[in-house]
Amino acid sequence: METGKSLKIGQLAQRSAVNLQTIRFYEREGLLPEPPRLSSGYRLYTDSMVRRVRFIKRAQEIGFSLAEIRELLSLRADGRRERNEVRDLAHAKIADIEGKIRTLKAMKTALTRLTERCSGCGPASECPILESIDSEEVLR
Amino acid sequence: LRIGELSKATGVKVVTIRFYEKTGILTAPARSAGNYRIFRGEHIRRLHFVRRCRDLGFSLEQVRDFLQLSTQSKASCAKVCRIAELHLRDVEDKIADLKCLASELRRITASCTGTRPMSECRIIEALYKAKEC
Repeated sequence: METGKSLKIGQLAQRSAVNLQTIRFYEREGLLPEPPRLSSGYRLYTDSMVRRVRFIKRAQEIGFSLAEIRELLSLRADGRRERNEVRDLAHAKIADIEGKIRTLKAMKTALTRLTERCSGCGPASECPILESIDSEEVLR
Repeated sequence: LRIGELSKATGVKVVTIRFYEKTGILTAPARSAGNYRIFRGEHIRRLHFVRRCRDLGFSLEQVRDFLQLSTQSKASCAKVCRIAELHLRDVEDKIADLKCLASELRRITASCTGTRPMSECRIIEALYKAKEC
């Protein structure tokens, strides 16, 4: 386990580049383990939590719901979980991820085509990017 | 057009249309005597535009910028281009991260037959390594 130094919630938030409410929210959603508290009532976090918080945030950005992130973080075999169950869940997640990649790749293709059309030198009202989006199904 | 008909014509949900109207992405339509929203051709066109932008993954803020830029006579096309290029980079980064995550999950499931416990840490690390792979 982590032997690094302990962080207060503000320090954790700052290092993970999220705000305080986000940390509390993740905690309420069960994405972060309940931290031990000082006698003064302050929550105390290990610095391994920084990576965990950043992971959760980035995972949200790349298209995972909180429920999905919870599943990703639970992908470990411990006494309570059957190895097969974990493996099945991981396979399901891989399939999900491949679906997300397919969607993003379609976006990438369409966006590349659009940006190539734009010389960047006309007025925005005649921009080929906007005109294309306005007049055709750019993604399909 | 009533809101339901507009929804059918554009494939955008009724709640989403109301949300667009509330947030100013869609201009408020005229109301009928019975206080129903009456949408016109220009709404259909604008909604198609917004829906296509969203299909391409643009944020609502970016869509708003597009709509604003298209009506400003002095705005330059280069601004539109920059938004699109930034978004393209963003999409590419996401693809890279997802690929890393998938390959880490594959590694984990492959090593799952042994007796070693799997660690959530490796999944968390996957999004860090993404910057390098």
